Amino acid sequence: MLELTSVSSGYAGAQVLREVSLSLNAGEIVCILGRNGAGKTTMMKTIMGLLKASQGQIIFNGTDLTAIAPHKIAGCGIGYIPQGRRLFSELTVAENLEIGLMAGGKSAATRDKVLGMFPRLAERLDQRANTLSGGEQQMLATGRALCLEPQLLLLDEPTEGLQPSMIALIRDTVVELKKQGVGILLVEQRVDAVLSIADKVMFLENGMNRDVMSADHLRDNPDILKKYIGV
Amino acid sequence: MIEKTGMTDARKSLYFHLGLIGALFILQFILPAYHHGNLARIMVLACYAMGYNILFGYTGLLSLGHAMFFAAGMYGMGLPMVHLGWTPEPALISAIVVGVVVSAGIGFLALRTSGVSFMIVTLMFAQAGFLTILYFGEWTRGDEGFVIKQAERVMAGFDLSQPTNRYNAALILFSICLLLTIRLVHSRFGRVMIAIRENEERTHMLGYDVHFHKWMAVIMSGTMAALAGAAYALLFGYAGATFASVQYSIFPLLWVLLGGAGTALGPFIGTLFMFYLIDLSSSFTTAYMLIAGLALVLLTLFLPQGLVGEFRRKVVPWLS
Repeated sequence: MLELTSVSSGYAGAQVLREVSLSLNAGEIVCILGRNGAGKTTMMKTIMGLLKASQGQIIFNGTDLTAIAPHKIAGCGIGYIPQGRRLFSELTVAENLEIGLMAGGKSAATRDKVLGMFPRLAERLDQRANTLSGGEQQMLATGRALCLEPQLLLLDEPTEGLQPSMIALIRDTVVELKKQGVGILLVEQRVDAVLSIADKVMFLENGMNRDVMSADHLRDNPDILKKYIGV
Repeated sequence: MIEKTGMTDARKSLYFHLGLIGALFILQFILPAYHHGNLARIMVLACYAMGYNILFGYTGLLSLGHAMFFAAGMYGMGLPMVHLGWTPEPALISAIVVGVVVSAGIGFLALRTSGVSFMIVTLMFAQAGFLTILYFGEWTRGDEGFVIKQAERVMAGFDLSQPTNRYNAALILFSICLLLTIRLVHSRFGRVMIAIRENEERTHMLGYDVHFHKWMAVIMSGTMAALAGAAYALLFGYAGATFASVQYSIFPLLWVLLGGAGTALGPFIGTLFMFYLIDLSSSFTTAYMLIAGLALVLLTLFLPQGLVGEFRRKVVPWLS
């Protein structure tokens, strides 16, 4: 589904990601772990074309994402929920979802499916996004990305700042999407939350891919966490 | 449920604006001649502000060069009438075409920048346009400008120099621009414009071609400004370089901020307020801009979303 081969990228004059490789299959959850500044968000942005890869290839279902215009990447079937949610704060819940539906050319059935996953959003359709709680905002950001019916979902710290019940809801949603065959690339600081749902874990350090292993292996060898991220 | 709620709000908003158009129609029978003339002028200038609002209020792009588009329409209308002897009908088409071409060209180049750079580039283009008008003074009559004769300002059999006809022509133009704005805001394109204003990067990530949408917004905004410029030349019989000066690029920004950026009615209310603020204060003192400035500062401090913006926030959240 997604194949990164020796991808490097960064910001003007500063290389952040250095020859990172990764593969992710349909219905698989891959989690990226690393300290702050390791390059996790940079990797997400590079996949989405927000940052140009200076080297390497990013292949998604046979399409080289580095060769197409960034705004066409979502149309390939990739949803991205950035850190901090980035909602259209002055628009209502309904309008935020509508923007997502229009982008993917999806119908009301998709919207109803999304509202079925997040019933609380259905109760707040006319409410402006900036008046929602943190958990509801995360639901809306996730719901809007799901309006595209993505085959691959990139989630950047989805549980950041959320209360435990919301974290559980987000985790359950991710698991449900996995069951539906959606591939998920997850950046998360909460290692406990990750280990319970991930299939594979990748450690990033100083922009370099230090290790990739199965989540089961990591669960059996907790010392690895201390080695790479100090917990 | 989303569609039902959206339509209800859209309909309420439409009725509200249709009510305003009806009130403006009735006002012509009540107002004294002086205010009758003022209101016709305000409605035309409000169309200019509505054009500006499409770009600034709904798309979030702050231009400092809109006088160039207003002047493009004004000269696109006036020059063929004065020098080529065209009647108002083809001259109006010429003004619209000039507006589309100028805004498409300037938008294409200026949108290679963003933020402060976009403001500076649009300002520079407008200054270049202003100097071009002065340079070709033989045809444009520069600062002095030129008059379009009363006898030539007849369109579809209506003498537009006659106050009632002029008022109703301004009202028709105002109604078209207002209803077009409302239609635009509720359209798919309008939603994307607002999404760009709210979060450009996110809109991009959802798969929208942000650059194309911004370019289209510049063209729509510039063309509406050009249409207002053409109407001004036709209804008031004058075209001059003053309308291409930087002052006329700042005016629509002030009108929109005062009335409420991103509201359909804000540009009209802002223009009305500013027009009468200057008109009234200038009858008391020669330092009338000081009073206008003070009023602007107070409004910005206490009504940051503008008059209509605050009204919408506190009273009628469904207003477009």
